[in-house]
Amino acid sequence: MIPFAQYLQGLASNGDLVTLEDPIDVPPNVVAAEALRASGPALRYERADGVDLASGTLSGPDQMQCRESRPWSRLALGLGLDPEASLVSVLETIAGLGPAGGDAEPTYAGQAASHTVDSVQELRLPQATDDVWSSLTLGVASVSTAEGSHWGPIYGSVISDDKLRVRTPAALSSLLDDDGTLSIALGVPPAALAATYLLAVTRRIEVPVQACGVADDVPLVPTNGGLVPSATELVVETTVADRRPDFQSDRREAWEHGVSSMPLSLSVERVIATDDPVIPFSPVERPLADDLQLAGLATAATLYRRVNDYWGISPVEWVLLPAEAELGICFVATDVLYAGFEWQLTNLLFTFSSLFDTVVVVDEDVSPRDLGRVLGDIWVKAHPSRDWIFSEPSAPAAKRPRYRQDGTTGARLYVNAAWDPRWEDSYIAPRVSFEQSFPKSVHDAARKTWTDCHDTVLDDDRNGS
Amino acid sequence: MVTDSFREYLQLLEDADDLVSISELVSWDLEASAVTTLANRNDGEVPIFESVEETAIDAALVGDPYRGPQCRPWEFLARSFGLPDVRSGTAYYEAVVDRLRSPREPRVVDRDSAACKEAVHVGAEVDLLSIPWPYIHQGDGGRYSNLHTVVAPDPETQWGHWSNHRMMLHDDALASLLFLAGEQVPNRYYYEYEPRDEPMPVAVVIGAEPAVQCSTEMWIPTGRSEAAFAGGLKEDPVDLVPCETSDLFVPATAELVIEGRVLPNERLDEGPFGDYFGYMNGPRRSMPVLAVDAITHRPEPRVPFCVEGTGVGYGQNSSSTLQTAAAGPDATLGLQAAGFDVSLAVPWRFTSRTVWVIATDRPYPGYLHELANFIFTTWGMLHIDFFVFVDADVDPLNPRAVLTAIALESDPDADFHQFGVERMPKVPLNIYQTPDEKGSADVGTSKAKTAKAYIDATTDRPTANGSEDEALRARAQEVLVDAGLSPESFDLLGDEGGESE
Amino acid sequence: MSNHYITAAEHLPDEETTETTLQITDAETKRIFEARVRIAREPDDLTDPRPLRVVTGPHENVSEERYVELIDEIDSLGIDDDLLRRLASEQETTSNIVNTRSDDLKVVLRYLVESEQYDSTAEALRKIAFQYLAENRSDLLEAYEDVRTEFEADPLRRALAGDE
Repeated sequence: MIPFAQYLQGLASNGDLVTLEDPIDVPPNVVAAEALRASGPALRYERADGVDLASGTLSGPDQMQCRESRPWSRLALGLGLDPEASLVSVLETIAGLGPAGGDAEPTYAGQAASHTVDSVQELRLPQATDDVWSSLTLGVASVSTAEGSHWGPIYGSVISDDKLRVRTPAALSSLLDDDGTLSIALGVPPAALAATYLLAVTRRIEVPVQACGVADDVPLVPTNGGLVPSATELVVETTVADRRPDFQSDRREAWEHGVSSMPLSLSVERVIATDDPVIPFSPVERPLADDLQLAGLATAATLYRRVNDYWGISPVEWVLLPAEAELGICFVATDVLYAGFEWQLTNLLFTFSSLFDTVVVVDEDVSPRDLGRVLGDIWVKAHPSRDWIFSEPSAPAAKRPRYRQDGTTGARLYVNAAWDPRWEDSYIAPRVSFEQSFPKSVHDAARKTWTDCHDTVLDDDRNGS
Repeated sequence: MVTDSFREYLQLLEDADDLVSISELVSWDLEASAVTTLANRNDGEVPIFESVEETAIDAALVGDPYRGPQCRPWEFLARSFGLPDVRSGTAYYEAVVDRLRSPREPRVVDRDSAACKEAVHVGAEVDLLSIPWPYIHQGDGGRYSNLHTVVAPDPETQWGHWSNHRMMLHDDALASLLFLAGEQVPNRYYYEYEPRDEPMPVAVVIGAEPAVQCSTEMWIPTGRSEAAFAGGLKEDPVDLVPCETSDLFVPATAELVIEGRVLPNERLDEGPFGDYFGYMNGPRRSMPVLAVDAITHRPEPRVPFCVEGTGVGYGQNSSSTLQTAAAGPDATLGLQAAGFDVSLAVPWRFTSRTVWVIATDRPYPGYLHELANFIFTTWGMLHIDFFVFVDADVDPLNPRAVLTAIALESDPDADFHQFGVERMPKVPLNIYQTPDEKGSADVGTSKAKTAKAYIDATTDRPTANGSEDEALRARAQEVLVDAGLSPESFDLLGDEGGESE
Repeated sequence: MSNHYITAAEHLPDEETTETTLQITDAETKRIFEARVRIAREPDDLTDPRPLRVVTGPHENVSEERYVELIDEIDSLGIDDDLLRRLASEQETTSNIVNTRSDDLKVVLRYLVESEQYDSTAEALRKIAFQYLAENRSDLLEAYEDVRTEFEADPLRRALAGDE
């Protein structure tokens, strides 16, 4: 378990976090969005006035160019893995944080947040450019029931010193009484936030965290709402002021596209923080935002597990919902077991997630680090007539896209960019690549020639060939 | 400073440490290409191989000289045309379109002052294999020249038509050319010269100046000449000189000129070759024969080549860069001139040629259909299979923005057009047709047709978020650069925001 | 002579060891030229055999090993049909006597006639020369055959065209 502040130190020592100091004459949201767009490092905002902030901590570089690290490299570190960890190991780790079927053994520890903050407004949480109020994002809401504590993602606006307007999954708010209590944990260990997104996306909020894999790893502590990670940077304890308030929110955190959510009006009872708190925020609805990346990984983790459990064999190599496609396209690499398997697989993916209506199928030997290759192969390897398969327009419309939000049915599409298993081997065109276009003796000579005139070591595996 | 020759262009790269000179002995047989592949993949400097094994004339090979940096592929060409340090692709496109609006007729210079005539070999002295042509990929049918300009006669302009057709070297005076019917020069050969049993004179110009190589990539309306557009690009007439053995004109500063005739009713093997879509493509086909009559060159010619097939996915090479930096602006201008409301037409970053992204308004119903099919029947006919249309305010050079537009705005039931309908011609240069579908395709189109499709990724709804304040964004970028981030990644920095050098 | 050659399966004759003309690549220099060759699976069936890689498949990445005997390289620029036609045309009105100007050759030819292997020195020279040409310059003989056929087929057209 890695507490959030320690996680930031880890990023900094990896050269993946830059600290900005006051005064900064641009709102943090704008700076955060620019850093993400530029595939820059995570940022820490040291502020004389207000709580320290961090952005990009759960995001990463885009995959539109060849880069040193992956979108999931930071989260891998936060989950206790090596930053070079493969996509699949990150997906499997995330999946392991969910319901553990009775095997979880929760641990408890003292509350790290020990001093009281006078008001929420004192925190000077970031404010999006066109918003009236400052916002709270990447929050973990905790609610207690007889079964235990339940977590769900939460975000919203700070209306006054002691009033919040938030959105949280309907499954969580339904567990609350009219004057129920709810705690919001900000600056939790990355594993806790990942677990929260997973529970939302898989609709398992009803499973108490004590029964989830996350409890094995993250020590917990009680609050007026439910249990939260003991290492949380900042806890806002609230009571429900209105369970069915009437307000619209301008922005949605990414998990909301696939999970039905409810507004709540909350009264702040107490705010406690660590001595030198730092909390993450996400520039919601900006490209590559943290909540978008996390929602994509949590969804991919659950899809990966479900398709590989389905047939008694595990043909699928990986599943990815890249942030660049805003959760609207699902990419899957698989062994195409027989002609028509890709049709079965894509239909299964559509069944398991309502976010997207487009799936791209690629061969099992394609690396998830090589999205560039996938984005080329779609057009040259898939036949424009036979390998773009459109269903009849009688499918429920996907939730993430901006079209067809009126309830009418639509069509689904999958692009088969894998080799046709009925083709003879000789039909399959060899790729042009360093590995395939030259024999080994030439590889060695070429590498030597290149390194002789450079200081850097060649990163041959950068794209996984 | 505008470059007037390939050598000056190489010097420009060297001055900025964008060129690496390799003096150790390297073989033309796969090795030069392999080193270049590493350079392409690692976004490294352009390699020049000063010392090539087994070459009769003292020549150097240059691996993918036009490949630009991955984050800004047009950068080297912008430099060579004296364009300001254009950080944004849109600014580069606008500047080039502006230049192309003012073509300049070329200038004929004296044979004696033409650098490309320093050495002249005619008739029995001609030995094509004295030049260290590279063998580029394992499995290619032969050694290739593929980064050059083929000059062919054009009845409508005295300067001839310039285009690129890969050339496979056979023997001392013979080569085969990939002539695909549907393209202008092959059409003239197959449907005019050959039926008359008349050889077609051509000149293959290797190592011409950047403006020439760029205009070679462009689709120019009939009646105009690439030479004039090359002059427009560099704001100065291109110097041309007459050939030794024909009436054609060639760029005077070229490194190497191969003069000859494409023989009627003769064929030689051509291919297989690793081509632009990133895969080996075969089998060999029977293609027209170039009989070489003369070779002229500068002393110690620099012979450029392109590791074709490495310009896909994350990689860039000369042909992918030339598509982005030359064909794109040209297409943009061409579509605007044809009356379409297009702000930018660009090739998709991860393929070379097959897909284009067009940012456009939609002034009337059916407009996208008209635009797509206009291109499919003209310059897009052979190699382009798809268009993606985005709104005019989406940057088509930003693949993330395009991917987002496709994901969020393209309704599978309403916005994907012409996908299932196989009625368009396709070159056998593809990997998705079976051998039966390709047939024996001796003039360059497959037996089986294909679909040509387009995706409407424009939005039907106004964006909820509204546009972001650009001044605030620029200030945020400055803050980040001050904190130590590299200015390379930012596009809104002003002059004081940091040079990319 | 190289150590290794390459050609495409589609160029191979139907029968093993039949002589054929095809495009062949020198694997080292990558020079491609036309040659008359014999090809066999076993080297023993050939004189001076060299390894030959025969490529096949839609992308020519499948290959088989054979052996090749290079008989003769074909003149790279082919036959000048115009020249042949002119000579054939001139020949219609000139003598067909060829003088070898060689005492040695005459002695040898006469020997062949006296020993009853041929009926005349003219016949001997005809047969020997044609045999050599058929083996070493079959392309020239074939081209001439075409020209002759052309001439025989249309004397009227030739007369109208004003051929001398």
